[in-house]
Amino acid sequence: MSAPRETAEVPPTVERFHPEAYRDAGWVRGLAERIQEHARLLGRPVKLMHICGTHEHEIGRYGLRDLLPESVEVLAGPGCPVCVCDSGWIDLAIRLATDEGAIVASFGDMLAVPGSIPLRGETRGGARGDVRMSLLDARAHGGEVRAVTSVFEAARLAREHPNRQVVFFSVGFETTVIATAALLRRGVPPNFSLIEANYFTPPATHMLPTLPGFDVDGFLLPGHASAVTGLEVYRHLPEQGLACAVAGFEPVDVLAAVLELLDQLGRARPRLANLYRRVVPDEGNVRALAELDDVFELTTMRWRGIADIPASGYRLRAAYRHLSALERFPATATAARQDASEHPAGCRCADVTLGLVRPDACPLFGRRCTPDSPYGPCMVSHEGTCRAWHLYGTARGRLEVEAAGGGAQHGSL
Amino acid sequence: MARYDAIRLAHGSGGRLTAELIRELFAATFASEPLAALTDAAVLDNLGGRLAFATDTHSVKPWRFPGGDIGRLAVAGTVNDLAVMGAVPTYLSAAFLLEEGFRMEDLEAVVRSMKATADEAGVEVVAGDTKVVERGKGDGIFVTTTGVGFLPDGRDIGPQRLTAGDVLLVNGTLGDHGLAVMAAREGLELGMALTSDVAPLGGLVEALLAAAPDVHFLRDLTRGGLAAVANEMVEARPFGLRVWDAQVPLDRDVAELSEMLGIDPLLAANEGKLVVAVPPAQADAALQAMRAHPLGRRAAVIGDLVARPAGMALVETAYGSRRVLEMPVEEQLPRIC
Amino acid sequence: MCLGIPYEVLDVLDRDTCRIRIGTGAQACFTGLVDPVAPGDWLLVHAGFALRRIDPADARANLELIRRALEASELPMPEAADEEPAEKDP
Repeated sequence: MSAPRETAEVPPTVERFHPEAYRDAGWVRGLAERIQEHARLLGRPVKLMHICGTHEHEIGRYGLRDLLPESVEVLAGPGCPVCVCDSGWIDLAIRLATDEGAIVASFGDMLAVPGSIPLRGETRGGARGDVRMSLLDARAHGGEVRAVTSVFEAARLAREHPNRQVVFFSVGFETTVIATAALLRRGVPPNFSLIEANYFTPPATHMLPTLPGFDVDGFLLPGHASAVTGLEVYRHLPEQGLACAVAGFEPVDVLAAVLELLDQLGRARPRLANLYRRVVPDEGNVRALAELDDVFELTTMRWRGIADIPASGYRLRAAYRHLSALERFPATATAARQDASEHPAGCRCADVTLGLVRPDACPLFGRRCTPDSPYGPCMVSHEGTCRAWHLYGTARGRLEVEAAGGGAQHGSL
Repeated sequence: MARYDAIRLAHGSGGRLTAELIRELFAATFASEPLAALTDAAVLDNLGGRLAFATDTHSVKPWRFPGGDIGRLAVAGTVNDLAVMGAVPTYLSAAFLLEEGFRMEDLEAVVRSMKATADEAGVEVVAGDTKVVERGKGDGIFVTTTGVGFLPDGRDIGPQRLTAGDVLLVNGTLGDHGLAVMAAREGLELGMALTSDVAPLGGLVEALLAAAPDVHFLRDLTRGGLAAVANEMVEARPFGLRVWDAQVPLDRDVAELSEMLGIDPLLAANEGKLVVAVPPAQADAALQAMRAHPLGRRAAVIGDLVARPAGMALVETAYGSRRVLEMPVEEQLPRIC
Repeated sequence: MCLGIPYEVLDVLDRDTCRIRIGTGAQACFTGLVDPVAPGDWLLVHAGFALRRIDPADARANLELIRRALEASELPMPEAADEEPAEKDP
């Protein structure tokens, strides 16, 4: 007994906006077939990289790697803000909750990520070793930590608790920080402050091609980050011969971008193609960029376990500096700002995040570090490459072995 | 009892206030003979045969949520644990751990809800206990229920009967309880009609077994959703499990909200849903029987057990691709990435 | 990162706020970073705010691009210049 399949019908031209077109099974199948054809014509293995945690999540959710030929590999690069967020910021958030009695408001993504403060006396999943505190641990130890879905919700918390300090753990890339900037320009209550942990993506793409062993042929560029910055910040990539396509996040969007990259490679014509025109204007969101520039300036930021990258993060400008948690809580900030070990001992999250090695090259992968008892950020985060691999990649290996015994296998050449 | 707006420590200390609470609230509302007799234990002498026996404890916050409350949850939870064994739930006990200061009118509402749910399920509450802890030492109210049910001869339902080729069904939309509680807890001002699906399923199970007597396996979905049960079913077994994404029934608002929060409804909690494994020959009868019942209107075939890959639960997408249906680890949190 | 989902505007509360339709319900959405919106507009929403108002012409262009990629009868794909007016060439 098998599930009914939808017949392949290309939807007619639409007047209204139809989000569901981008999940259409017929279109997905058609694009997968075109990709197979292009890959065959190209006649060599191709390595593509995306730099967006949500791309990794959606690829996993829809099993899109199953639909690609063996010769086309899509790697996850440094696009998971949870994985690159320096542990110092997490430690600061934890200390503000446990030592300063502040209400710490954070996106749910960050709550389970370990920083660098050791959690004594605890083993996780039966494994001894280097357990570090997360914000959830801070909550278990009496700190008040609240999950929020927007910076506006954090500001509302501050209004509702005028006698408490409310600190917003501002994480995420350029896509998210613009809301923080917009809110600050319009005014926040005096008991509100923020941890400046926002990162700027493009500098990582300057660094990546300089790394030894970098052999990526093209990039799927992040659709929503590009909607903010515009395309030109990635101009250096096609100039270095790398194929580029700005991609949306539905299955059709991702596959169309992969097809575009194969086409560019086939013609040896690398360029910046915009495959997400319905959301991404070539020039980006000019208004958002102006508000952002008013509130924040670019500064050197430490990418966890990777490097200090110039102009890769956001710091509040002088006029707004009083809203920084570093200014509001100077003693705690100093305590948190230690030369922390970046990742727990033995963790290769940094290399995995850069796409330099596959998760199974890390000695801890699948042994001491599993989704049940995660060791480093790449296994904790739902977009973390290691977590995605453990759930999907390892499984895929098993699926392939099973297929040799006669089960169904999809999507191979 | 009208004299007390809120629970005091004395209500749990075994003296006059305890006796009043038991007599005027619990015994009066549950209205069973053993409780009316106020003996230390209920004597049950009409069961015979094999018994199924289960217990469940609840601490849900908030104690009342759209579609239900902790009382309904507590009764339905134990009733469903018994029903999925193929037993006929018959008697329950109910134990309350109350925090000093818990409002009397809220307790009355919980107890009334338990009585109503018990009536729906055809069970009687015949024993109970109450304790009170100091203000600040409890979380309002905890409820524990324990139940017994009679297991008719000839019923053999359990994991030992699972085998590759079995067809999997559910009795309706998934993730309702988890998303309803999350929306209530997050204070999301959405105006959506998200309600918990909490319900006692004994009647549905009997209707199902009457039409499809060779059901191999039943399990109620609770915390951890379909994902938790799916993984439990295949762990270290010589078969695997496949769910067809496109076949899983979802309430439209649950689908929208889970999309917005980045939550997977297959991992979200249910309190009125079960998964059924039947041999293919009985799949249609099972489906029709559930759809004919008020608690099974949106029943659907959602997957099957496969020979390979063994020991794993997979989701097959509308595109034919696959992903692993992970065993939930921690509570799902809304994400923005 | 960036969980962003398209939603339809139900009504406009002020320059910076509208309500978007979510299933049978609605939620507030910050619109200060996009041009003024109107009921019926589609917004790409991330973390409680609108990142972009989806222009129907852009939406059509996006769909058409994909349709043509699917329907192309021969390989390689046709020259891109005529498909995307704002195309960037090295």
